[in-house]
Amino acid sequence: MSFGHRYDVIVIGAGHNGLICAAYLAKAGRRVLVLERRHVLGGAAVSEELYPGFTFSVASYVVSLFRPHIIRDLDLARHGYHVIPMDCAFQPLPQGRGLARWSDPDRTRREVAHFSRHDAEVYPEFSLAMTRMGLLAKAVIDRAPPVLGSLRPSNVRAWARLGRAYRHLGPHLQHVAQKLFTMSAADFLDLWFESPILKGPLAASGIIGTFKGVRTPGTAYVLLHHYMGEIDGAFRSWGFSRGGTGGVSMACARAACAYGAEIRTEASVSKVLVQGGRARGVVLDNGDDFEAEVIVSNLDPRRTLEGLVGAPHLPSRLTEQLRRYKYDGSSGKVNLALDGVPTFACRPSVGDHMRGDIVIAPDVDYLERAYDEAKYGTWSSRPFINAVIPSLTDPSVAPPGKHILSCFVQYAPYHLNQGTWQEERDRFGDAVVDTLASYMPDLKDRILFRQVLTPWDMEQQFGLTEGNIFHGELSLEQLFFQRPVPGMAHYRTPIASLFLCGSGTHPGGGIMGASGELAAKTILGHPT
Amino acid sequence: MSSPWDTIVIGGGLSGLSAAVTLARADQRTLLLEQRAATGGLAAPGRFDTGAVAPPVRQDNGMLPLGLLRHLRLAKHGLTAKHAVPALHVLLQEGGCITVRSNASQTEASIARHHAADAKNYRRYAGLAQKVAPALARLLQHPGPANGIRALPLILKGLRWWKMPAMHELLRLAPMSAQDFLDQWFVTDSLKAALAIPAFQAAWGGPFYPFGALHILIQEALSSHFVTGGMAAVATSLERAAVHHGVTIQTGNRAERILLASDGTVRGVQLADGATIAAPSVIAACSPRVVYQQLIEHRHLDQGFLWQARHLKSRGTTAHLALLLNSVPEALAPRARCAPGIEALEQSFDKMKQGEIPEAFALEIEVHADPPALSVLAHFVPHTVQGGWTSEARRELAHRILAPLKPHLPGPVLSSRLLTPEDLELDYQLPGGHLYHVERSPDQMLAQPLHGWKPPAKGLYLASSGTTHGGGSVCTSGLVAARALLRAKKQSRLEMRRTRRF
Amino acid sequence: MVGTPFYSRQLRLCQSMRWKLWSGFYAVDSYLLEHDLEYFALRSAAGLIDVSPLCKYLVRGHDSAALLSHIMVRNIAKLGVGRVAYTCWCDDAGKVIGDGTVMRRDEHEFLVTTTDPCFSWLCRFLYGYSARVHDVTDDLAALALQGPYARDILVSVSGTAIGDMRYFAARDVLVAGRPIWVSRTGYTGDLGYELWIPRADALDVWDALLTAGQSYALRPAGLMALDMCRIEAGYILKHVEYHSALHALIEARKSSPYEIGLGWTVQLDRSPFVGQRALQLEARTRSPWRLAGLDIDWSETEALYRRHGLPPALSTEPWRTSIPVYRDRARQHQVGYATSGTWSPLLKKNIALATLRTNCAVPGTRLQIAMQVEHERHAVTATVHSPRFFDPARKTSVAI
Repeated sequence: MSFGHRYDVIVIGAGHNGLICAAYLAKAGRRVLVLERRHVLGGAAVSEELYPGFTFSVASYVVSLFRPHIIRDLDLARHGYHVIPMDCAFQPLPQGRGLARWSDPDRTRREVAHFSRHDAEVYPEFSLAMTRMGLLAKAVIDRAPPVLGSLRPSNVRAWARLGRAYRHLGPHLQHVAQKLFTMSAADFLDLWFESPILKGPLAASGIIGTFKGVRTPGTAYVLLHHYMGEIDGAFRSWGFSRGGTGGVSMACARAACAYGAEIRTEASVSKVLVQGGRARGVVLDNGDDFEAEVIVSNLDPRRTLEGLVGAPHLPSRLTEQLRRYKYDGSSGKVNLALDGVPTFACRPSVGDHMRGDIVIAPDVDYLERAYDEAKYGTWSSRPFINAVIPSLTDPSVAPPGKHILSCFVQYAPYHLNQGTWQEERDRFGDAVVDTLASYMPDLKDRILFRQVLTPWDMEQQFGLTEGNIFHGELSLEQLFFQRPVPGMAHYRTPIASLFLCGSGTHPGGGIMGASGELAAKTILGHPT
Repeated sequence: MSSPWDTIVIGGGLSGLSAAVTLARADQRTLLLEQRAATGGLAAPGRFDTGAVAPPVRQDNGMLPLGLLRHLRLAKHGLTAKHAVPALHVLLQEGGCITVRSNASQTEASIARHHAADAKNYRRYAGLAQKVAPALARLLQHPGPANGIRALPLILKGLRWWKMPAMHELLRLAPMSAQDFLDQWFVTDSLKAALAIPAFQAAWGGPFYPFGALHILIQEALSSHFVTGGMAAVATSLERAAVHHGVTIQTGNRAERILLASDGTVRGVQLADGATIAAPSVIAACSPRVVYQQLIEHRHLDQGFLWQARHLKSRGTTAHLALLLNSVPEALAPRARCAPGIEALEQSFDKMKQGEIPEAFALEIEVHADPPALSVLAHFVPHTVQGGWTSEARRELAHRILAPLKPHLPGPVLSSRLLTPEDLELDYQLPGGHLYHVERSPDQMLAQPLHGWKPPAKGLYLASSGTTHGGGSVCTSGLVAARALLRAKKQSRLEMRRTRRF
Repeated sequence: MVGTPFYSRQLRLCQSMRWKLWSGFYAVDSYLLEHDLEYFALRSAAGLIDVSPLCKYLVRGHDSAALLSHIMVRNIAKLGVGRVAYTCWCDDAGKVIGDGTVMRRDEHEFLVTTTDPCFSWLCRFLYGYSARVHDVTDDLAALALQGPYARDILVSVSGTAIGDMRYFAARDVLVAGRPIWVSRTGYTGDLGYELWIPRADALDVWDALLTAGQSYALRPAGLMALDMCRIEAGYILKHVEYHSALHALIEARKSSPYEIGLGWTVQLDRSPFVGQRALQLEARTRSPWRLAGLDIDWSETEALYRRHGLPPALSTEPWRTSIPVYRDRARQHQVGYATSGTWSPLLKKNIALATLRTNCAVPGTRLQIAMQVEHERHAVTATVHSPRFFDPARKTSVAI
């Protein structure tokens, strides 16, 4: 067989993880080609002008856990990485009340004290405990996971390192850690707080992107994500990327190109060529083929292995495991272009409370009800919404005086028990706008344009299987040394020279970049 | 301080009784205090309105640790065990019934009448349970934490687990929900729902909730020894053994407070009437929530410890219904399960969460012969129902529990006795009304003695379903606590002798 | 952020526009452009300091004395009515969570004041006690009237003979016809009183005091002057000299009462209190750290400046950054760190409060403290001193 072109490495998919992986490999001197199906780069971390003058962060909308060492390693700041911090998390409530949590602890205490004096004072203690837990989690997410059953020295050392980090916590925090990794978000928060109102938005961060309720065990540890930024020394890591989240991807792409990688858009890979248990190259939809020593896929595990490689090349046990691998996309996105700033009934001024996270999660029961509706296959009529108005902090995304309201919505189950998403899309969008309008009465009059992305749309548009934004459910049995499936946790696949670098590998989830980086290091044989 | 007692055991349930017998056999002067009129706790038989004996709340789940109980010689006191697992009838929603027996091929045949693929998969399912059983048994029935040199065998054992594929499999399966776990094998909805029942008993959660698989596996793996006469027989024989070995049993006597000296050592027990009984050690065989929230004075406890104790979860979702019948319903004997289906059960759970009485329940049925009676455990009954447990609400609940059983009963129900989770809380001193005292959620299973989760008072030991060894595996915690106490006594005797010598 | 009840008056008086945030309140750092005038008012006449941001809790109920004895390291049950006690409270491991005063209003009512919120900590122990905790931080304004003439001003404004009021006593007094609580306590180490005023009466009392104080050169004083005074008096400040055990990220940041000079408040042999076991153990052994004062050698400082051709130019403002303290001039063996310090205009000394290894904390020991002069790092001799640099007899004496 002869190939059109030869490369050292081909990266399939130019999501942020794929681009980071490519950049690391190119930096190490490899000849890298990145192939992207769409006309834009970034995968789900993408900015697109959907309506004239308005640049939307179509899918992923805030930058949170991006690993600071990647920014330094790839010199991303020089390539345009520019994140504006958010100062506030605002939770509008019915009956004209609202709760805003600020970076300043005293200001937050004063706000929370309206609902519970006890909670107001315990809040810093909770943050402290979570910061300590974050130090433990950092030991987990910044390295490739150790596996079970292997007595290889490096593996035993990795476990020992984790053991030390755990022992370092001391008995009290060890209890907290045990609880954190097994409890539900709501139960875990009950250990500290009494006010269901404060617990609402806190618990909500435990369910983002998963098809679980706030009372479902295993959601507590996701709360950690909010405290991870603090311990990286990168203050205020929560923020808007200037020009939309596509800006992060573009910075990664520029870095990759600067190191010598080649990126082709509108190059949809149809097949990975496997010969003798080795991946040899890829074939595009248009028939072009490329040869490479190593193929890295930024697609999710099922799409890569079943879609591009094909079941005949895979061990039957793996096919079975991939079938069981849970996706269960549960979230949707509603993007609105507005001709002015909407006002909240409870805090009518255009203030700093609108420049951060806006969370529609009035209390814990509200979230649980949203889940109860969705788990049988209907979208939540009163959903949990996480909204941001990036144009209030970043004027580059909308024309002067106009604004963007970007809403992440849960739950919207991929598998509907009645109807299809094409039929339900608009009704779902209406429900979201209605819910928001009950807090922002003037919202409906200001809408210029609306885009509703259902899990089905996300699958079509971004190739997210079943619309899962994390390339597979973040549930305990699919994490750490079991992500995506036991025995494949080291970015490797049963096909020699075919690697995974997407969110479906450890640690996965969010615009973190760690999967891409760790995959690159695995390929380069660097210790991780 | 001289005292007629070496040890006071608070609570005369199965754990308390086994602790007392173990102590008395080691010549400890033991006093057992039980607040109810009879010992046995949840295993004690009740009474119907007619005066007939009603089956106890606790059903025999086959997890009585006979190996551990052997040295109590309960056989001498009238306990006989069967090492075969008795048949389990699963009543299907769509009519008909599957009988699960210890013989897998018989079960296969029974399932095959309804669904061919399920029948084939049953063998694999049963095989898995057998594969992980040893790992689970070691984890759950190990006699307790070890330090220093005694930890060595544990470490060696740990290394063996490390290489065991069953252990890896367990790690993957345990966090699954009952639904995901059973979906791997079965299609028949009510079979899945029936097999999922142990998950509902153990922890707060519906069939969609993670960690259901863990409890199903524990039940399947450890359920091996059934006793003749059910749990009431265990209670009776333990009480006989206690009396035989010289335990003083005081029923109708409630401990109000565990008295501690200022250095945190146990001094004795204060009773409800204000009288105090001195003793150097106490085994509290009652709910940990009662111990930490009522019996011990808080100023003797560490703040960090109290923080944990205050947040013990024990949300009971199980009601017990005892039915007196004309004759034994053969279709259900000796035990049966009935559940509407996975999704329907989850809906029941949602209803329960909102404080409503669901339409359908997951039922565990145990048939008693003398007098002919049924013991039914119904899952997803709210602890407090909206509007309170009025007589109408109770009637409605009994009616809905009974509805799926009606066709299988040989005659009319002569009398019935219903205990809602709230009743269980009040009658049996179970805060929250959970049958295992505290929920067996993974955090609470882990957080027990392994990491300093033993009572911080010297001479106080905890023995109940609420401890690590509790849950379905009754008696174990009593034995473990009694042995720990004896070991501590022996050690302090040795130390005293040593100091005297020098 | 909000102002205290005196905000409207302060806004007019604060010429320097130097404000600072204290527990979420705006507090004046210095009213005048030169803060040391306020310091001299406090030391030679009288100063009026707004301390309303202090957290104030009323503990009421039959068991309130038992409850507070359980929480505090000091046996509050023995505190007489109309007395105030300074104490701290610890966690299970005997590490300090906070410090403050407890005033016994009557048999079953106590006022707890502290710099940081501790409502939830107090409430954690309520189980089993018949007592309730009320947060009165926003209901009570607080003023500190401090200085040698504080008594005269208070007598003239209240018309009451309070000359016999002993150190750490408290009583009810009428000021400008308004009933307020007065305690003879303070944070300047001088004669002084703290006034606890119902919010509605706050401005009236403020005006009355400033009017009456005109004859005694009374000045409103800001936090900077207060900080200088408290360093001279050797009083510790939370977040500066120590960190609350509840908010310390690592163990090393926690301190026991013995390590921050509060060992004298610990009463060990009594009914159980939080941290008792750990403190008993520590009392038997030796704590690794001690609070001490440092007297930084002036002539050496002057010599350093001279080397650069400069006159000695120390800042007149108090500082609170951590500065390493060494045993040797070569700065090889660190034995502790200074936490706050100031030039004391009255004592004519450059002083600091420091946390030192116990064996180095003996008064008279000569240590080396790091000092930067004209971009260069040096070491200057600092002699260990009792933290109490300023301790006049009038602080505790009674006027007859």
